[in-house]
Amino acid sequence: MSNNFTYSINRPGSQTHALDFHSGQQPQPGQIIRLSGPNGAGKTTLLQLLSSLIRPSEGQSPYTSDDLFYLPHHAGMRGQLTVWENLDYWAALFNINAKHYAKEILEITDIFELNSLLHVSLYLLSAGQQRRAALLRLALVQSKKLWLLDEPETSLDQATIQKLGHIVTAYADKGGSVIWASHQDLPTRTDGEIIL
Amino acid sequence: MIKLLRYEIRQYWSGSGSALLSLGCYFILTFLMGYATQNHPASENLSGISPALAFQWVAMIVSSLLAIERIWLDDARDHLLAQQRLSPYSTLFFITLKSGAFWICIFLPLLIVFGVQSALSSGQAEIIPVIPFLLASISITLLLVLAGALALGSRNGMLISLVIILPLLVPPLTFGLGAHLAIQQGIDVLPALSLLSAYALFNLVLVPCAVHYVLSHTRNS
Repeated sequence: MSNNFTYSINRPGSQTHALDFHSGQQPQPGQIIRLSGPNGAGKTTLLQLLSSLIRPSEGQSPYTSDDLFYLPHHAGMRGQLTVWENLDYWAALFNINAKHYAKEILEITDIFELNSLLHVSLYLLSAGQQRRAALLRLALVQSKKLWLLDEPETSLDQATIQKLGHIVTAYADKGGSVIWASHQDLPTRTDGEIIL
Repeated sequence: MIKLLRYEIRQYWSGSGSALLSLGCYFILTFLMGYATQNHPASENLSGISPALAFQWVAMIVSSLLAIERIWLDDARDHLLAQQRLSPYSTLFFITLKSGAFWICIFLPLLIVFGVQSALSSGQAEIIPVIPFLLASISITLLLVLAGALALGSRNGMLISLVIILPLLVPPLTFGLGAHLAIQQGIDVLPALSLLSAYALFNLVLVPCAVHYVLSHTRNS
């Protein structure tokens, strides 16, 4: 089975360009790969292709949805639910038993200083706090092979970006692979780069 | 699965509270408008159909329309559709889940009120008019789930989808009203119930396929 794929990006009013991904760009276990490129280059599209959210024009993603965790730019949370309920809902959506990850949830809640906000409705929180709430999911996906992170640092302050860097590094040190789309230098080691 | 259903149901009772809004709208339409037309001279010429009864059925459909946004659009706004697509559950599962939650939150309360109203108006405990309502509500739920999905496609999608879906809501309205009248007048109710059942079956088979097609062709996530 080929691990290569191509996707044609057609935007009205602009030239069609192809987005290629080949097996050499696949991160190895323990690697953190930075995905960079100007706005509109196709970073989000590439992550969506890898997560099988959209289908390539040719070939297929080397990953199945069971293998990976995809944190999109818009994390997908219900504003009416509290931080904790959103996490609980997301765990139910992905058939994850949150009780098995109680220790990890407590740790990440503590790291992102969300203890006092766990039972506050999401719509009452600032953009940065909402982003931190979305990052709580990282506690539940420690056993996945690959994390696809689409600009997870958006709206976060520098101190929180550093904390996120520590969490991602710890995951990679345990053998996980990461593709991190970003316009900035990563707050972690960078084992490779995909430039679009 | 139960947890997901619980969260779906909660959607209808939180924020602007679509379930309460639908119920309130139903009460206003049936009580106020039914009362207003009760002594109107034209009411004698409506081919034997009591205006209150007709309003009861029209109000049921109009009230349920108020909650369409809750089905898919809320999730689209919250960017949850992509997460649902990534989850191990199939699209058919979400269609079933959302149809079930919609029916429980919107039609179950209306069904109870409808039964009570029917019993009060006839002066005896009537369970049978609830059956046409139940069958009609299955078709309407499915069609509104389709309308909600169609609305994801464009900016004024809700208006366009309603224009497409509204004619499809006429059969459950007319067959349901016909069955209800037949029960009231003591004539054979089976033909109207058969038509209602056939239409519900038709929707049960076709609408999930149509919604699946619409959702797989929308990038609105």
